[in-house]
Amino acid sequence: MDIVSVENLVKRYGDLVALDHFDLRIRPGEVFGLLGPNGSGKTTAINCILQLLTYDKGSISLFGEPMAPTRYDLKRRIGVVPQNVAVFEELTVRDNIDYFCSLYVGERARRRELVERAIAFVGLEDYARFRPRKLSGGLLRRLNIACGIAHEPDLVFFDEPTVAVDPQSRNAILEGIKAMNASGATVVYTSHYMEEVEEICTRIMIMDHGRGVAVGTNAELKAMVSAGERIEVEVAGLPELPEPVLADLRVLPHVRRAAAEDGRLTVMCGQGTRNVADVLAVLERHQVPMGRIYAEPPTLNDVFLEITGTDLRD
Amino acid sequence: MLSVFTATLKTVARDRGVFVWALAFPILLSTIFMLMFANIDEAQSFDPVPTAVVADADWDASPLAGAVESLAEPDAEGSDALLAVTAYPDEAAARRALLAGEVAGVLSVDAAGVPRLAVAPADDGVGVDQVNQTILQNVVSAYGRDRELLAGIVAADPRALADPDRVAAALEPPEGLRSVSLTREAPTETVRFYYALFGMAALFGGTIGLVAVCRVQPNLSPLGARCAVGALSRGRVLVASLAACWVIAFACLMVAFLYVRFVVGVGFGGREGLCVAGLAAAALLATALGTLVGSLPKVDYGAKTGLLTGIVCLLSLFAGLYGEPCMELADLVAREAPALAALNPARVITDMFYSLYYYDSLAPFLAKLGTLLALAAALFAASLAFVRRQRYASI
Ligand SMILES: Nc1ncnc2c1ncn2[C@@H]1O[C@H](COP(=O)(O)OP(=O)(O)OP(=O)(O)O)[C@@H](O)[C@H]1O
Ligand SMILES: [Mg+2]
Repeated sequence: MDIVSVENLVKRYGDLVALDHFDLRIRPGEVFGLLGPNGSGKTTAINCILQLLTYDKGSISLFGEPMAPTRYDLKRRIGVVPQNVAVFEELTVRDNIDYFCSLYVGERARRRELVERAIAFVGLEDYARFRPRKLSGGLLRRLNIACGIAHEPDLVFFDEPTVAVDPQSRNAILEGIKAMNASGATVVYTSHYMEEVEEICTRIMIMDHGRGVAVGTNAELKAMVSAGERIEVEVAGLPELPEPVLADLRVLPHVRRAAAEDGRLTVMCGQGTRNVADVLAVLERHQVPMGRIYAEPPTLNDVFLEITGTDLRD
Repeated sequence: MLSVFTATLKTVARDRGVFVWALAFPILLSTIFMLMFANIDEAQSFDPVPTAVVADADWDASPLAGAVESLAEPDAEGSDALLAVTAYPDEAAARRALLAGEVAGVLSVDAAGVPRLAVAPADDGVGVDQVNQTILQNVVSAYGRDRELLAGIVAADPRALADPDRVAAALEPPEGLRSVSLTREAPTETVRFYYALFGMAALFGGTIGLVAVCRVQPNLSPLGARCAVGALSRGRVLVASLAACWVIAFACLMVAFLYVRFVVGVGFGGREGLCVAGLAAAALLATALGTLVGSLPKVDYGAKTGLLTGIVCLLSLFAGLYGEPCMELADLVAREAPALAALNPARVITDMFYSLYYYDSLAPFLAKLGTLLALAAALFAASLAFVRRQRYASI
């Protein structure tokens, strides 16, 4: 059974089609990544699933049951960490968490326990009595998360929780999400940072213009594109790589694309065993001065690029 | 629900706009009123009216002499003497004193036994002189009434005059006449200012309801959206937060009331307990008004606060808050469009206090109270219609 099932969802804002026959299936226990550039419809999709927004067409089921605005029984099992920090300025960290928790858990004693656990989970013990105004951006994000997950939901939506967060806090957040998932929660995670999605998600959907353009595990997505290798060479000595050099590179057996920019040559190759050696041989033949050389497996950016023809902007 | 209630109490109570409009504003305005009315109030804390009497034979023969004498003594209940009487041997001497400004008026009795009052030509404006003259005029006319009354008794039943008790009963001034006409009538307008002030202050308490409603509306703030994804139904969240709003609005009004009662020293006719009940109803109405404005669809938050402020100022205008011309306008509206005045919450609140102060009967007060509650119910019902929609095409 799918824990989230969205079929044929269409959402328009006036003339703008924000979701264009969007389909989504998420299985229990997954950390599902929604990856897409700004404006691709990630937040809109989540808000429709949560019944905050009306939609023009399509059906949405959660936990195997049709979702509706008054399905409070289903809502009780869902946690939401919205893209924009939304907490009460006038309440302390603890009171904020308690408030949002109280929207799901009526029983006071149990809530007290949950709130303390959430505070510990996001590491805000030292700030429990602070008002949000006094928290740094990263701490505020953590509070935002604590408010969304304190009631220990079965399904949690994280909408870009790491925007404007320093690497340390970001790692803490990602570790936290992994821990939640390990203890049984299904996670939906949106981002336009590929590294994050690659790191924590078990399955990923790439979105563009309100549609899912590809779905699969990290490895499956990479296999979908024929990119086998990405080779970068620093050619700092040459402001412009002569065109004949690029032409010679492009005729190599596995090379799909070759381009030079800012003293850096990027060559995308298909599956092959001698790609690096072949590329280097061409460069040596033309006596191109070389600096450092990298060869990497393709990233989601490469996948995105190959599928949509545009760069994943971030 | 309890936690929503307490959280709303905490959050709204710390909102600066609420503090300014619902709490600071009435206190500030009543302080301004207090300073503005200081002079007038001084006139009301009156000294006995300096009065000349022409103590000739006609005077001595008239019952007025005895009546005036009794007004020149502190009465049995210990309240101050109304008049400070100086006797002059003849009319001319008394007139000189009047023109010299030593006395406010000259009382005399002519050969036919008819009382006469002479006062100095009136100055402009309202001051001690005018009040004193009014008092003397009241004394003379009350006396005239008494005489007619007695004459009436004589005509109907001459024997009654032999019964001192019946005469005394007939001459007994109507209940409270003396204190009403002399200490209540003059401050009418200033007291009314304070009552109108309560009308306005109460309605500004609507800001609280507005803030709270906007906070739980998903299309108005990210916070509202966040609350709306929770598993507590929208209705319950609303009821709990509005209950908190009512408590805060009521508390603010109570503070203002205590301030006006004990610091400014405005009287409420000894019915403070009923005033508190009235304030509770006024707070409810204000919350309802704020809720309605707050739940108007397709209007953003800033426009809503502006709208509420505008409505409150306009309604208060017709309740006569901004000075005497406005009170006249308010009275005019009340005469010409009674339904409009009867449904103007600011006016209803003002009148509610007014009726507590002026009428012995509680019926007018209860009628106003009932109107307030009915209005509140209507406003809540209207806002419910707007808020019931659970989802929005755009947030
Ligand atoms: N309230 C709205 N009214 C009109 N258009 C909107 C509204 N909200 C979003 N849109 C448009 O809908 C599209 C999808 O927006 P959405 O916020 O879902 O994107 P997103 O993937 O979450 O982007 P981001 O990464 O910036 O958060 C965008 O083109 C956006 O401009
Ligand atoms: Mg978004």
